[in-house]
Amino acid sequence: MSRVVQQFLLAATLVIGASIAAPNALAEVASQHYDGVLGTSMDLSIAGVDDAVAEAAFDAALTEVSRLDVLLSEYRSDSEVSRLNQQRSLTSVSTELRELINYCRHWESETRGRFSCKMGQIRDRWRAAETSGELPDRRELRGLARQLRSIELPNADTDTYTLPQHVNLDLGGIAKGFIIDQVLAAMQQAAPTAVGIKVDIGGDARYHGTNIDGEPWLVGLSDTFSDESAPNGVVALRGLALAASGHQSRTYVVGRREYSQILSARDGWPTPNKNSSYVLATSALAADVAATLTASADSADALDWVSGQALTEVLLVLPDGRQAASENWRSFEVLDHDSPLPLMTVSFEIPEIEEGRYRRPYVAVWITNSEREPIRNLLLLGESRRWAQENRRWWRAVGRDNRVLFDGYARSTRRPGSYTVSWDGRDDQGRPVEGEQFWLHMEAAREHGGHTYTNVKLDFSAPASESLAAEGEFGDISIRWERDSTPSSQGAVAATNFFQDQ
Amino acid sequence: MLRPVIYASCLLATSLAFAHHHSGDSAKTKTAEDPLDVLMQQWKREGRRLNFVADHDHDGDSRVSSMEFEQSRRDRFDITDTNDDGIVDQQEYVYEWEDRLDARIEDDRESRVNQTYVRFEAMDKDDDAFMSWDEYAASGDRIFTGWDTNDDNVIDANDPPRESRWTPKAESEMTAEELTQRNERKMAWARSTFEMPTTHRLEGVMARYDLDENGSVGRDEFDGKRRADYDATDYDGNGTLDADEYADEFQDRMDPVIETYRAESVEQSHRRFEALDNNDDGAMTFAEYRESGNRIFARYDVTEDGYVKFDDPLPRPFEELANEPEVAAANVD
Repeated sequence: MSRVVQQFLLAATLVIGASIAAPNALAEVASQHYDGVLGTSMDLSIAGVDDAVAEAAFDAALTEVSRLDVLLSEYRSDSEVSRLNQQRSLTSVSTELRELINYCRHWESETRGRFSCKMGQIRDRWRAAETSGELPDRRELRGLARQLRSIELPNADTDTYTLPQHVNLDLGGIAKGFIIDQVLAAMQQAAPTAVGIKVDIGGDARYHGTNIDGEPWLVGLSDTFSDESAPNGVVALRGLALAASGHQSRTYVVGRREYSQILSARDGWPTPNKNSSYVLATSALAADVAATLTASADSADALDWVSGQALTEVLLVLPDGRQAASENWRSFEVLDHDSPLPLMTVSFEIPEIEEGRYRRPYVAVWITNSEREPIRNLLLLGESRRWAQENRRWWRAVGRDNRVLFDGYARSTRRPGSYTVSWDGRDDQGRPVEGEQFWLHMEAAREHGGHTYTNVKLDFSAPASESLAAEGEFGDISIRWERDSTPSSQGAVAATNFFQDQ
Repeated sequence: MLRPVIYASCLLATSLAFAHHHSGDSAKTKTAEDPLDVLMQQWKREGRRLNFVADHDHDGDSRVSSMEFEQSRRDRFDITDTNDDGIVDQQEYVYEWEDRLDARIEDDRESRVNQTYVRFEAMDKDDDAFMSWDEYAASGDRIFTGWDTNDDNVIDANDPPRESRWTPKAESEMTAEELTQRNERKMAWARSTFEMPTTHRLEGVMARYDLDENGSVGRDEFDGKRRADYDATDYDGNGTLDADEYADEFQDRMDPVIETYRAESVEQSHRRFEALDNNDDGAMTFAEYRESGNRIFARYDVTEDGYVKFDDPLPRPFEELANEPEVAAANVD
């Protein structure tokens, strides 16, 4: 990981879950802050109930946290999971642990093994390293990780559970989200008439229902060390979970150095965070898993993966400040911006070209403003810097001043086929653009092959479309553009009030 | 970051280097020295000087004055002196070195691992995400025939030196942009840390395939080792290799190399401290550190005009300083 990235990660310790209520609503939302919960802090809020019910709900939450801690804590040698790791087999395993083990199986399969709960032995090596001050042997860890990847965690459908040989459970990546979901359920049970509940443990949170008067919860995405209240935006949430990763997570301290406690299932080594990641999902557990994974993945891979997950959205903030959002993330965002944003979709074909030594083309698609200044990179296919320069226009306009694009943005050139790329009216940093006229630029070049460049003027004063016939490296291209016509969310209304009141 | 003007100004020096490289028949007369090796050494030296100017040119005039360099030395000294007592002890010195070393090693390691995935993709000719034995063997065949230049099915001293597989474009023919890229490669090369044996070099082929260490590799010996390597890389034993297995095998060879390299480098930093600490009191003052800085600057300032510039002649090769620990110690940056 480059030093730049490391410095960014140090500086960008994220705090999310600072729920921002409209000032006139504070009296109707009861909140409590607790320290020393699961090694971090817990913030609870409840809306639409009287004080007695709120107190009962807070009590229920504390009871539930303690109960689950006894089952799932890896820091307690007498917890159920610790006993399972020691004894290898237990006869009356709790429903909760069994449920969690089955979630582990689910996520391991969903992530094709990149997420794993089987890393207990490897985690123990790192804990031992903290004591000895000597780093674990990297080859040995890799061998162990390889072995673990080939072992399937058995399902936990019955109350007797036996761990496979070599496998010790490590629920660190999943237990907190699970507990948040369980705590919410306990509070709902204690306060069935509540219109909304927030459960925030250590910055990951679940926002149930609404804040007050049917308003969604407004959540600022912020950096601790930033003066801005929410530099990465505000989202309006109703019954969703939000998790963040890529902040300075817990670390192992070995000798003078700190290593992330997020270990790669590939090789057992700490995973460097590549992005700050915010994830919205329907459960805290899913949000937690997805945030951890997407923070350590290349942004293109992370977005690809999220697009295959139902009801999951992600916002990635790259080390240089560029943002990459999944398809529907922006619809949760509360914008402090009046006019509807430009929207553009371009579909194009990369034709198969019959040539002896066919190589896939390098493709660049980007937007400039009316002054021809680059404002947004939409697509960059091809990982080799040397050959990407063959896209000469792109290279001169964008690439040579933005070397970091290759580290966080470029993805492998796919086979010939159809591509669709959309623009959401934002610049690379996620800021809404101003103005009526923009240019779409498309360029493709092949090693030892052809080179094609084309551009189209996008005038957003009226919806329009344009088709370009196949030429050179591009097949048919069709482009549609218009102003965003979807009505602003209710969140946006509340946010407008909020921003005016500041 | 460096501005293009800097790169343009070193055009002259580097094109001279290429003229030297392309002149005569050095490959035939000096069989021991691969012309590509010679070139890489040259790039490394040029890269060091590019780095020197890039690191210490605080006012952006594409040259480093002795004052600017002294400011850098002061800054480095202050960073190293973590307890702010005005002296650097051996531990502070070594820690500071380790921090920079480990960051560089980690960068190198990551880029080597990434390269294995690129290599895998290139060898996986049918793009099915697996490297079959046939695909692996085809790559082996290219390696073997590439070195067996007299086609006698043995790689040995009787093989005439092979043609360089890659002839870099002469810098005199490069655009400013290409030159910028070239210079970035030189700078990265100058900062690179450990080296892995490679089949692009004869030593690398011998180290890996000359199992009986008799100085020659027969085709059977070669093919047998390839097969054994393939099977050992197939960690899950399913008869084919995926990209992760291929990368794991490489890392299993790389990590011991890194370990050795790092240990030696840290050991050398202890020796350097001892050389820098003139009066052997275990504490380096800024005066002692500055003295070594003066020697570094003097080495780079070949024209003795008080500035290190891109078009100065290159200083004496770093490698020649190995037997002069004090000078070497002063030049490690």
